[in-house]
Amino acid sequence: MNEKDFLEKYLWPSGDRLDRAFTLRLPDIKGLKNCGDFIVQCEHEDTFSTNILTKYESETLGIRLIELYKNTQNKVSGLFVRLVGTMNIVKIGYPRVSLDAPVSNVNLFTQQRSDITTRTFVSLPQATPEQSRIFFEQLTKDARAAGISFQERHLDFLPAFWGSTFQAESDGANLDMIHKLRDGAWNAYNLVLDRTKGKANFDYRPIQENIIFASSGREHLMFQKMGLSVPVEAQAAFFSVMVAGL
Amino acid sequence: MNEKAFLEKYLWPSGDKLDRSFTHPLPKIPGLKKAGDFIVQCEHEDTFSTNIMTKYESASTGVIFKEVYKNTQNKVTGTFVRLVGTMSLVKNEYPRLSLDAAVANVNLFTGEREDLKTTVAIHLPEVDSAQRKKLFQEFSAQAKADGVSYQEKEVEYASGTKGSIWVGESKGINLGMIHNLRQRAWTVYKSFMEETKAKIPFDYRPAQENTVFGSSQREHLSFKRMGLSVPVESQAAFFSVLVTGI
Repeated sequence: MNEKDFLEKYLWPSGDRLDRAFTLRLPDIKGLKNCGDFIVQCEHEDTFSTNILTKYESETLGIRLIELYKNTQNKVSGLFVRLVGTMNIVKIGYPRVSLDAPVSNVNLFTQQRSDITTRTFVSLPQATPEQSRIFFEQLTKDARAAGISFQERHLDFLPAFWGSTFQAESDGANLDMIHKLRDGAWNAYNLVLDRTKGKANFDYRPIQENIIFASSGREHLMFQKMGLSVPVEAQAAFFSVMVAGL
Repeated sequence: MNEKAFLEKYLWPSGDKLDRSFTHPLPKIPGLKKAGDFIVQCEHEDTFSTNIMTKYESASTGVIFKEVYKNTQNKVTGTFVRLVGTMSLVKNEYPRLSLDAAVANVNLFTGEREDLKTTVAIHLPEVDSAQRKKLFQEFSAQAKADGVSYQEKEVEYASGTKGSIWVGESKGINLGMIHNLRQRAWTVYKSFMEETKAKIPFDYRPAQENTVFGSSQREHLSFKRMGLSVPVESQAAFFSVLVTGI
């Protein structure tokens, strides 16, 4: 074994192949600084699942934001679920906002091939009733003002602490809707921070465990029904980047 | 937004930059088939941490085998910890065997820069101590034959309980030592499976949680002492690939 070669050539970082023309500007949160660039990727059978994640922190506001651009696609059938600007925002002591932004040519609920549709799901798991009320009142007000149609749902497969989920839907690839709802989610969260008190020693472990272990298993099966082969490990790894640092 | 461009150009898989001349042959496990290629990567400050992982399954033996080639390196100081063929073996309803194979120019315990050293650690935290001692003797026999030093170390596991790990050490880059211990790991695990009854149901969850949450946090701090900036999220994602999926 050539020691010089090992030192110089063993393993170097992968480059990402994300076209930045499709990325969204960050919500207007003061002092956000890049605190880590991540790639989580899996290839299995005919499917690739590539996650490009960035973590930001604002020292001035104590906010952490992680955003995600993802493509899960079957290279043969062309089926895809793409996340375009999925993000979560948290200030320690407060519940964490989750905004999920899929653009897909497969129905996420029936798993059947469909026309391209953009959906955005926003939730505030572990919120108090007051925090939940403030958050969703503001979010729905902003959505109405922007002409975005939506509904609020309780998703059966989620634990009770998840609370309700805001869901908007649009035909085609509607990145503008995602952009507006990202700003709306931040506005609504900011109001929660202004009007409610944080909790010392907020316990994020229930949501971390639920997402890393339960959601990854559930989504692995959901992808399977769509004809997308994504091992549990790939979902668990991507979810770990999203929630492990809380 | 140009929908055609979005469909064609949004996000494609990253290629890995692993030089395969430094990878090992797989242990001789009958019927191993590839079940996923993974990249987990983070870049933060001057450090990159790139993990190239592969999952294999053997239908005939029921074994899941995963291996890791990893480089965590400070691009400015040149300090690095590289994993060259770290692996995990598990059969459903049996404990996991982990073999950690590090080549580093920094002391993994003190964080001080030092001459290149190869360290292999074997972990069997879910095996009772008497049986573990017996299994470790097999690795000691291999180390003796290879002329490398070894010891059993008492450590605190991620769960907070205490137990032993087996550690072999060699000066410089000793990929031969890693190769032989990987092959031995399979023969040891095979006889362990043959001589031990399955535990039904086997609860992997405590060890998974300890690894994803506890070990990630501990290693994040340990890297920091070495002058390597690896966010908790990055280690959690890497560990998620290793320990979930069973």
